[in-house]
Amino acid sequence: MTFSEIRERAAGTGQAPVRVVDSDVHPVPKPGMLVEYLPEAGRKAFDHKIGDTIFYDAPDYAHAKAMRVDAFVPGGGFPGSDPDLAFRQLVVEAGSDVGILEPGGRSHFLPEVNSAIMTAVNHWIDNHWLDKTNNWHGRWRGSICASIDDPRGTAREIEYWAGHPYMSQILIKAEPRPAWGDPKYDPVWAAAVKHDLPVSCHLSRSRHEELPMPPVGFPSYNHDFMVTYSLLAANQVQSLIFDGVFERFPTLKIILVEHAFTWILPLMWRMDAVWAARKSDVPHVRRKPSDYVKDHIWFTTQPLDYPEDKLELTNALEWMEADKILLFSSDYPHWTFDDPRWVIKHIPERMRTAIMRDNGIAVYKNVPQTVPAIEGQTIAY
Amino acid sequence: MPIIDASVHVFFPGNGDLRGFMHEPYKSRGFPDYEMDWYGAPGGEYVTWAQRDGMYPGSDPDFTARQLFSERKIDLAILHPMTRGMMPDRHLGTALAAAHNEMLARRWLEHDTYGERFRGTIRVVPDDIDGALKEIERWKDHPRMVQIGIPLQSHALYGKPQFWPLWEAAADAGLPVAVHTEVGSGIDNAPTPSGVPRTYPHYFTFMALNYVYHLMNMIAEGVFERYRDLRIVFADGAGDMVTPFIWRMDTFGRPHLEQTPWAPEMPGDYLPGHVYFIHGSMDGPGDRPEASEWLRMTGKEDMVMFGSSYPHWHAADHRELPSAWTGEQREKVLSGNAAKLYGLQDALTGGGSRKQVTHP
Repeated sequence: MTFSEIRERAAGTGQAPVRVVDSDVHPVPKPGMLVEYLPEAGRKAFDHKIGDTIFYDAPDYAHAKAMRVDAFVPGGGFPGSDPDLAFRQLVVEAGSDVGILEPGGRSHFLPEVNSAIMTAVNHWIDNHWLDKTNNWHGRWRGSICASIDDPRGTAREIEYWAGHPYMSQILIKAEPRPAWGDPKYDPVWAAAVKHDLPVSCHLSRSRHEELPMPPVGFPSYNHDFMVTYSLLAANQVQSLIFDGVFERFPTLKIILVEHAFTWILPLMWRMDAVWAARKSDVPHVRRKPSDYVKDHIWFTTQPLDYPEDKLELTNALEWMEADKILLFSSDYPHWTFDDPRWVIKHIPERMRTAIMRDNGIAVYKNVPQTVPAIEGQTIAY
Repeated sequence: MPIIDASVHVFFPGNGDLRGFMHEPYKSRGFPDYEMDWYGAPGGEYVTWAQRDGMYPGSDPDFTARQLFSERKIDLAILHPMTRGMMPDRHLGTALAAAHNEMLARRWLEHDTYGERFRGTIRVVPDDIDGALKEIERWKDHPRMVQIGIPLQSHALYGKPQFWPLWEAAADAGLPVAVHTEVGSGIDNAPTPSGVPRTYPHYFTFMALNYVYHLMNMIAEGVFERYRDLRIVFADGAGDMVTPFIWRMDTFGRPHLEQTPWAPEMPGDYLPGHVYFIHGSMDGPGDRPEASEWLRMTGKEDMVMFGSSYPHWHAADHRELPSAWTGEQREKVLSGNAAKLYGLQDALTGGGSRKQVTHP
């Protein structure tokens, strides 16, 4: 059956239960598209031509561009630029029922310029992915992209989009300094909890302020760079907890996307031990740190790092209570794509529905229990 | 069961005394004290029980010996002097390290009564390779110097080639290199990838984790391939992190190995025999049933060595290790791993000088 046949048949079919909520899908604008939506303040970011900006390159970059090589659009087009191809590969073939869209893209060193770019991204995704033509199947959900280095601009952007029926979360970048416990970010958290939107954080790996600054020197290669990138997220967790953000915003939900997650197990132990020994330094931290993690923070499954002995991973998932803190993600269409059917195999059976579906439905806004059925779609489990 | 305390910190009692071990033009220079202005622990750096009027903690060999050997029943202590921060003038940094080495040897390792139960760390400055090699040459044959010590703080990761002469010298001398957070003030970067933390518990939780950057870089740069006899001790604790991070390095790193033909093995294969950790008071899951399995995972039971960090506030007590550990695990952590790494089996089993030890 061809994809166009599936599409034609879609109208009028019934509802299917959502089995997989995919927390990390990367759409990109077709060339020239974003600029159409760019406010005047954002023009600075596009005032000169640039080529490839890659450093810390993935394997075989010249050929694959860090993408799934089968995701390049036939006839030309970057992976993630065609909603139809993404729908076929991710939803129909792999069985991700609902995809949370997380655009990356151009950034700038001036916070107000970044905010303008985010405004353009939000209008673009609204018009080209979440619209009736491209979201006819009801499977895409958007992110309110926001520039965390411009907290007031971020709060404005959240207010503008919060009522959108397909916007499911706020998306910020992981790198800008200082860490998130700083009170300067409080307007962002306040806007998020006001609208019951989780705040998702993705790495952006751009330049200086949007690069983690390793305290002891820069890594040499993409693998020691990306592996230690997780320490940035580990540090954000520590800042959120020890600076009392969850005491100031008791309903705040944070999602750490693509930062890996197995490190949270020993980090919870370490934070709990330090807190037990140093409580008087942080009287505003009233619960033990691991309690805040389990009530307020979620991690996405991709990249799923595993040991040779898979039982060790099973144990680690049990000890960290992974069913409380994990959300499935695929990272489509990047080269590090994790197929839902492959991820399921690594998750203890009793945790599967929580991690693949239930946590996503509970954490995100506007993610339904059922979606329009698509004939021929892969059922992941 | 014998006990080796693999991380005890010693100090000069004061700057007048320190300057007495220095030569001009460094003797008259300005340099910071041991305390950390921005990142110091509220209430003070040291446990109260290691303090006595008029004495800097960890500066009196007789007092420290009584606390470690009599009260805590430690058999051998690896002494690791703290120096005075990352100095912008590398020559001054080396002069400070050299003074600490001299003090360590004369006052502690050659102590008439307790010297045979102390082992020492040769402090060097990695930013000053020439000076570091001279210090190693000067002390490597001292019978009680058993390792080299460098700061965790750096401006470049320790896998980078400017540090290779240091690894070569350490491997040739058969001395492990301990990496530990330097105290004092200096030109170190902010302690986290997101800048300066707002609270002390945040600083303390993160700071030790910085070893992960060094370790992953040393693996990717092929340092352990090039120097087969090199052994590194990450001495701030947090060895627990090696499990998730080596899973990550093996899984994500594997397809990248074509970029680093000088480090062709799976990253995790470079850990055994090369990488060690001090096990401190904040490490592990606590006294829980999974503690034994967790210690087994990634071979940590062969990598971690008990170290108290005496006289720091977080001084660990070897009587408070997890009850779930097996007898064999306990033996390895309390002395077996350190005895093997530092060649202390004879000293522990009562051969030679051990018999002459008198308890104070």
